Amino acid sequence: MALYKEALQLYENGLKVPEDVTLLFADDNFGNVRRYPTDQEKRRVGGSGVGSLGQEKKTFSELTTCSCTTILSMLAIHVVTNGSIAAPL
Amino acid sequence: MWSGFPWPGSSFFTDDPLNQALADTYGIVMSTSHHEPMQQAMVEWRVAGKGPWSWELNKDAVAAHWRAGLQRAKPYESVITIGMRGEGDKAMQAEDPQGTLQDVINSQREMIGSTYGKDDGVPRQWKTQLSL
Repeated sequence: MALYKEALQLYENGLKVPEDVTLLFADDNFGNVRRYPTDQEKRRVGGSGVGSLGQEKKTFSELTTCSCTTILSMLAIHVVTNGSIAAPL
Repeated sequence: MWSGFPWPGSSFFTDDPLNQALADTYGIVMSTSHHEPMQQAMVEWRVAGKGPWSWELNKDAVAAHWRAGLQRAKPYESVITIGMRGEGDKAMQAEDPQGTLQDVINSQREMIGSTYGKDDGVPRQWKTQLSL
């Protein structure tokens, strides 16, 4: 289950996600990540990790079809330091 | 799934009835994008024209859509995405987003349970292999 935008707020407000569901903490399309999984979240049966959602629907000027705004090196740092596998786009 | 699949208005699942089977033969595990739960592409919903993409306003049609996605994917190894946002991955329009999303997740688990036998969808055979 991808936790981004309002979904992350709802999750932090107490949304109950079953243990075996993988949590995906997504970047903001520019390589910034709001938070990493906690140790408890990493121990979930389904696991958790950091990844990019790729092209999110955005305003015309932010469309990434012709260019990629996600700074991949930043994303790589998040993934490597967090020790998790990046989820599929 | 990318909405611009070969034919406009089709998805990986509907473009060719053999797609899922062929992917499975090659050991490819299919899934859908983060805003397209239950092995259904958003384009399929738009093409079907079954009303608003809303759990509050159109629960029966959305639930039937999801059950169909699960049933279609049943023979093949899949990663099922769950949750729900607004159409086209916009924010959900709901009186109580948290309550609605919780209800969505609970209902989706129930659907997975009734389609696959367990609400985490993992078949018993696979569990046996893991324990060896």
